[in-house]
Amino acid sequence: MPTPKNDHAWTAAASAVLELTTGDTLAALRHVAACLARRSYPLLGLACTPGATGNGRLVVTVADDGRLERLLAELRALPEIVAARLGRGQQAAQAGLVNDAAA
Amino acid sequence: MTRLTGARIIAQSLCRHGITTVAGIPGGANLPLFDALAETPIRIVLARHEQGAGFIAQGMARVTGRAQVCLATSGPGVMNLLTAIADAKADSVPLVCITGQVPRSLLGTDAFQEVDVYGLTIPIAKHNVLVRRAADLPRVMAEAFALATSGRPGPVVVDVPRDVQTEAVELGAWPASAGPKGPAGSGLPEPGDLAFAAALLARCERPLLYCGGGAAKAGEAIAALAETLDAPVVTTLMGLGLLPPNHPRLAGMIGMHGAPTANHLLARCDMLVAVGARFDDRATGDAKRFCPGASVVHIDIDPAEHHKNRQAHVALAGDAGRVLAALLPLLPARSRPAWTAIRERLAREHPFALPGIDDPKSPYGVLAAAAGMLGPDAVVATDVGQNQMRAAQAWPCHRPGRFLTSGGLGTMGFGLPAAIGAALAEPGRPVACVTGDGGLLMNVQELATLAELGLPVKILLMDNGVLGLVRQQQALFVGGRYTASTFTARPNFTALAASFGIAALDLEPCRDGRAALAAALAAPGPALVRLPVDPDAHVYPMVPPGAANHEMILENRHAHA
Repeated sequence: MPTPKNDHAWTAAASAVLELTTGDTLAALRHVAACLARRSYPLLGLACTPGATGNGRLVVTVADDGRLERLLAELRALPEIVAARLGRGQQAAQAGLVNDAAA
Repeated sequence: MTRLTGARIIAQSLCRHGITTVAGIPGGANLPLFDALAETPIRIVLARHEQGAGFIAQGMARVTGRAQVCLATSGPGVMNLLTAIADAKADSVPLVCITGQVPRSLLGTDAFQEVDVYGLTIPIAKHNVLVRRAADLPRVMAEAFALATSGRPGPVVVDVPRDVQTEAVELGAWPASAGPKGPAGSGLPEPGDLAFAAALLARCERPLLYCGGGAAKAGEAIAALAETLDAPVVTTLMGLGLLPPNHPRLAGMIGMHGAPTANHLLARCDMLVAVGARFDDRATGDAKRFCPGASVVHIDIDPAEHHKNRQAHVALAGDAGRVLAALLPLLPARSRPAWTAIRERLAREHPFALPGIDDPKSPYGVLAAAAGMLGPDAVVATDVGQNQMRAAQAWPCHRPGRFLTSGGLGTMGFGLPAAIGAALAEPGRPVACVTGDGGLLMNVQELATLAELGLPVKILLMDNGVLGLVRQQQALFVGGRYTASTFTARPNFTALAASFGIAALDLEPCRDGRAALAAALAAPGPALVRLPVDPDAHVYPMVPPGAANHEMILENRHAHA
């Protein structure tokens, strides 16, 4: 069985937007920055906004080098991160690519 | 409602979590906590350096499998603890590290003995928290223990300003012991993923089980899977002890100083089942040539490990024992005689004979002799370097939690305090500390702690006057230029031990080394046994940096390099 590619060469888009729901926002910000730095994820943008339900919200834009699922898994494991997901636009773009590929 | 200070809340939380012993050093910023601990039955072990305290707690945690506690004051106290925290993260050891901090009003003012503990520990701890209100402490402590032990274990740092320790608050009910995200690791992979993995395993011809520290408690399930697949089992350094040394499925340790047969099996398998292992470079050698033709099923409790160093065909997230229990019923038992023939041929072609194993005055021989004298239930804590690799090769590990070693961070100075911790956690169990002169000197102050406690830790000191593994690499890969790896001033270690009040034996002049060793090991209390070692005695096999595992340097080719 051929080994799956692990060279991160193919990219679905130039960048990806991640939406993170946070507990202690400052703590989350520091942990997210540390996670990105440790794994050498290029950070393109970061916005911090108050959430409606008492939680905070971080919107993180990173270069999509094919490691998004791993990055999300790491971010979800951070205790200060309540939830982590691809931004809605990113999900739609990926769905479109998948559909195109299937067609 | 009860009115308690923050320090008393911490102390009572520790009791509620079953902590009976803590290791640490008091200072200005954590005096209230030590004062509160003195009111409880908890035993306080006064280390002589915070790194020693951290490794004592690690020794307790590695033996018991439960979170243990170390304490340090602010500033330099915490700085000294950092190495032990990073070491615990690298080896997934559950620790709760409670550090004193300057009062809240002084935070950020560069006060005396103030450092940003939170910032310093972000990349080296599983989690960290700066406590700003005493009222938060019951929840913070419950979460700290839950996080340290749940899922992939690790160190949690709780930084407590001094005035939070002295702040008195009304305490209602204690919180239930649960992490903020629930018990990670209790789930199972999707049935479809399990079925896909089973299908791949059923049709492979040369399966190999590659097991790390995350599989240590799943030995029975590993053995069952190996039987079902007719597969050999190889382990990493952290996986030693998951199967007993004479188990017919066990092919040995892989990696830089692994068993030749085990390393050669890697190159020939067509299916690699990685269980609780993270494809660490010390184990894989050149990652691109690690099991190059194999499909990979990766079982790990930490999803972040999947596809990190090796892309898996199937990634199964969950506790190794639980995932294997779910996977096994899906697998048909099948013998693979062609693969068995290959394994047997490799074992014949690549025997692993340790030189001097029968001579108790040789590096391997003293380990084999001591292991035999202390028995299969003994705990051994190693330092880092040649002594560590020799112990990994020669010490028969019969069960998990008995071979304590700094595998991921590779911290010299680990051995002695970790051995003290093991002896504290399991009174009456024989404990050996295998160390070198370089490593022992890095935490030599803990000889005072050991003498004070009178624990039966037997230190097996391999004294070669050099940083042995550094010198070996210089010999093999740096043209024999031994830069800064030789100690010109060499302590008299037996006199040094004696000065701490520890019995000491020098094996060098002993005519009957075995009898002298047996007497030292049988005597009550601590002892140091010194064995002089040739500084040019190398540890083989050795996979050169950047080489594939099967490209080992063997002793007969490079014995006098």
